[in-house]
Amino acid sequence: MEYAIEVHQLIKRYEDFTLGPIDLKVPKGYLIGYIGENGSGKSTTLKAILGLIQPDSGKITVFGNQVKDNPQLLNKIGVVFDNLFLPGEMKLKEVGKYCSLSFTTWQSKQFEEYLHQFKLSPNKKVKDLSRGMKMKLSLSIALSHQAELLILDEATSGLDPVVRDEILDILLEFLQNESHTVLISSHILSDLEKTADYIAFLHKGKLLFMEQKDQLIEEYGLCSVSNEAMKTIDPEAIVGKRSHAFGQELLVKRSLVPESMELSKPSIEDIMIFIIKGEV
Amino acid sequence: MIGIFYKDIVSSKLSYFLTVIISLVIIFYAISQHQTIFIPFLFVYLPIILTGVAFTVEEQSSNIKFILTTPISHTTYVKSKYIFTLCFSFLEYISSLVVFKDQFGNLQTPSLIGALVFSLPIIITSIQIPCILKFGAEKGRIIMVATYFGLFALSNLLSDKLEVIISKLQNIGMSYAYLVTAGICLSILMIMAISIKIGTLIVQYKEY
Repeated sequence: MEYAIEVHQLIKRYEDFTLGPIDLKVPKGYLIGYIGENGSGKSTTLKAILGLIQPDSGKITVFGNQVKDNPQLLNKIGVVFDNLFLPGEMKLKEVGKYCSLSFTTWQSKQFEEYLHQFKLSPNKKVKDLSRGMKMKLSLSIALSHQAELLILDEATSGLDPVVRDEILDILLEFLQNESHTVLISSHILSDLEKTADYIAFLHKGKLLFMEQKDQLIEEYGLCSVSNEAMKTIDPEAIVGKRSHAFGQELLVKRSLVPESMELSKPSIEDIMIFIIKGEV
Repeated sequence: MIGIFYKDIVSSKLSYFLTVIISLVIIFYAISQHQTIFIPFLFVYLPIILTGVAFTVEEQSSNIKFILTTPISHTTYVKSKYIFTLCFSFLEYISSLVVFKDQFGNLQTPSLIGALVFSLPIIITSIQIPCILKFGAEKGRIIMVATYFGLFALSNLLSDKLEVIISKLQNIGMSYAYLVTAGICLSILMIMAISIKIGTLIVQYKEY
């Protein structure tokens, strides 16, 4: 399997938080959802991949090269942050000109088409755009320089469902090309439920797992049992539990519980909440 | 580099437009009052102001985060911040030649004065830019004000000794004048190169 991003033993230490060691391989051609609670280190990982912060140790390569040694690599990476880091006084057509002078692979026509598709006026100033419009502009930029890898950091948070859906459609369209890859960190797990091929879960600075989404949902099961019945379940099978009036709600590993046990499919959100809050 | 310079210009068009207008008014006034000596010195202050404006606008929008996700290298980014300084230093040198040529009746002494005036904005921005890159535009402004005071004090000191300086400059042999001018310009460009190197290292190791 070919990888778009390879993170090996990444460690980044802050005064009150340590990220890693992280080993993460992002396969080419897939959409990877990077999830975790606030402060788990998602943005730190993405910034380290982009060379915006210096890791204390570890190696990160994108398409086999290190970004800091090869800035031209950024032609192949489209980045959408949770904010648009462009001066408010710039008009959208000026943004296009600026990008054409910055990216060697810039395609002005494609950018104009995206502006048209997103109903963004080229004469509008950045400061006059709504949050949704800013995200659309950011995505238009990311998609107009022939990027093969899109990195989105909480790009859909704070957007209404219609805009989010529009953005997800664009991402899925981008993935139609098999060499294209998307790494998206998001709190809105329902979006990832719809689109992600893989889920990478970061908790307290450690990568707990990276698995195929469908496999992940098949691997776990949700059940509600009485306190008495819970004692009969293999403790190894219980990933997380939550108490309720009639007993316990459990997230279990399907392979370790009897087949006769009635289990429902968990959502990604269930898995995340049970792992974070329902620690056994 | 052109991309960042273009962005710096269009993101604060009004500030630059007003600066140009005010400068033109000062130049016309200086000419009408036969005080053309002010013109080269005007170009000392302009790059410092414009560089400060560019960094402030960039910091307000955290634009550096965008720039660092484009294929522009750290060195190119830092170099782009010296464009204003180089342009105005060149204008300053030319205006010094024009203004002082009539006064001295030759090109050698004006060339020397021009080189000295040429060095001022480059030295100041060579201090200013790494400071802004390291500490941000806000603290950079404080450094800018401190440099202004330094300049003011220097101008006062020089004005007291102006005649002595001019006579010393005239004493430098005609054949040496161009050599000294070249030496000054070269030294100043080396200072700028060191400043660019320091600025690049700051950007490389700073976390965004």
